Amino acid sequence: MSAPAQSKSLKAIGEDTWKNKTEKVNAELFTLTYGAIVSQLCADYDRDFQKVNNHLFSMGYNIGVRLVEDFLARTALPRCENMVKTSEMISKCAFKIFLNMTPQVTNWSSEKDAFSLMLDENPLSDFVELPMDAMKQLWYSNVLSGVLKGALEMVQLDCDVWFVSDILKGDPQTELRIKLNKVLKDEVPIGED
Amino acid sequence: MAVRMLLVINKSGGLIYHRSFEGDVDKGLNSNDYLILASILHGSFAIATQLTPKALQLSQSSSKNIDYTVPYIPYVGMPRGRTSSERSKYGASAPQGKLGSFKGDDFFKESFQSWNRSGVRQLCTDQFTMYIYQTMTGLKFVVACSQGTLSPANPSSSNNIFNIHVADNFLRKIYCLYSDYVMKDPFYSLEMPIKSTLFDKKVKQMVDNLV
Amino acid sequence: MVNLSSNMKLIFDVETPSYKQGKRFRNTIVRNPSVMPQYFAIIGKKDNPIYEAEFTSQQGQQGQLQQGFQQNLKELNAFILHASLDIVEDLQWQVSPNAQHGRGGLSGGFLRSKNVNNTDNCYLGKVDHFYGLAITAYITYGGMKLVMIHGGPPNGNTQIDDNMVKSFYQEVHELYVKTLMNPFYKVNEPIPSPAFDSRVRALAKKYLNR
Repeated sequence: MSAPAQSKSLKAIGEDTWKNKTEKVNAELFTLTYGAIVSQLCADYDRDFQKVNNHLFSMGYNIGVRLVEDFLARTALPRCENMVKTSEMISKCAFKIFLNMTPQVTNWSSEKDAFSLMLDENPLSDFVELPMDAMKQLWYSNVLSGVLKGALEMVQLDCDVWFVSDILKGDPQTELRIKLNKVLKDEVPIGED
Repeated sequence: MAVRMLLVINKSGGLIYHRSFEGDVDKGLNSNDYLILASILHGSFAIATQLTPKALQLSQSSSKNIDYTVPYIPYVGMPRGRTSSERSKYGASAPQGKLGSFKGDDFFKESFQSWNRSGVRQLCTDQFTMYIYQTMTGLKFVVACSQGTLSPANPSSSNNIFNIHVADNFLRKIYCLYSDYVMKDPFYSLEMPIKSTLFDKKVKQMVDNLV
Repeated sequence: MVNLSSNMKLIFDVETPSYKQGKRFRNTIVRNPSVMPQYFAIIGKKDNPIYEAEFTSQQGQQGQLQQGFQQNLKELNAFILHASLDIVEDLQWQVSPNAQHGRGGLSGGFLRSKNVNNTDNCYLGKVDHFYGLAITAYITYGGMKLVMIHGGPPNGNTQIDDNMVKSFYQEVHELYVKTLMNPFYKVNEPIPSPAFDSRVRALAKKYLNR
């Protein structure tokens, strides 16, 4: 099934959409708002960081199921044939359009159904230093894992998404892992081959 | 192409939005009828994918060469007559963000692939023509236009493909409006009927621009 | 009672004329007039210190450590700083402090900050002195007071390099703003971060003890 070759690469589509087709918002406003959310959640849950992580994940999930419609309306890209294509689309188009960053895709599993995204600059966690009790348990950017899970579920890919390491916790880099559980074949809209 | 009706159907076949335009309001169906209409459409759409004519099945290999690209047709649903000279007369006053979160003067400017490969795309009668656009998430946008493609006034179907492409462009823009004004409303629950005045307003604007 | 008398002894010591002190310590202090210890603190809105640090410089050459403040004076540092807070608050609301203090060089006072878009007017210069120790101050726009005692050669008045000190304060101000951007930091709370501490010390080495 050879679709007509895309005249622009995914990277070019991502860059072009980011530069010319999306309205922007002040990055510091975004960072500070997210920081306020996380610190307020920590206070509300009485420093029970496991609950904070779960809540951030569910917030991200709700964002993801809606954000994917925005992404599809904006780019109208065809369905990805395999996880390799999916990973490229996530890193070159999706992250670029919404956060202006291009994480690196690494650490493929042997069956090519799991990969890691290395986030070298994370706009959510600018200026943040975790307090000592949070450092062991809190995944500060956990909303991102929720967003990815929700978005992928809406395009019929059931995935597990979780953080492996985080610079804020003292690790050398920030790594987000995505693993495909199954393709939800019976939910694929009828009419697509 | 005068739009008579717009429907949005969620992925389970339930109607989440319907709107009649142009004086059909009196003779419109009641809301129950719309619900029935939507689920019938959803079902027929699915059945249609299985009703491929034998001839087409035999030449399955040639189906790989079918081009599902929809070219970009400018000015569909966008205000016309604003040439760049006129725009400069009004100053650079095209209001910021008049397309929501989309920058520039149109939602998209390049051709795109249709996600709808074997489902119904166009339904022609002599009274009206109906076009269906399905997204990758299973959402269907249905528009019924008053120009009957089979009517004697329009005997040739050579520009039928053009009509389908215009409808696809238009419905993708409605999809962009949906992703902005419905998805980003924090009080909207997924798969529920759409009750957004902003969405209504923008849809009306776009339909008016189409005429 | 013993404690009281030792405190009284402390006070008497301080009141000893400085030249006598100089005689006592001449042999132990390396003669390098540009190197002096400082005691720096950031005071919050309720007069609570949120950060304090003592900067000394180290002389590696002769294997001798430059003393910080003399041990018996060290305890007084906090008192001295807090005593100068009244003057700092006074200067904060004066319309033209220069006329009253006869100080040239600084344009306008802190109140004039609203008309300029740099932090030059935040620096108040030398606001107080205490037996040869100079105290400089700097106010941030949020009302945080950055104050510092400059220790000096015990037999003479401390000379302050205004420009260097002002640059130091301005950079610490920027570090403070970055700390404020941390969502887990509540305003007016002590600054616990070791990164902040090491950066301030690096700045002190760069600007104050050269």
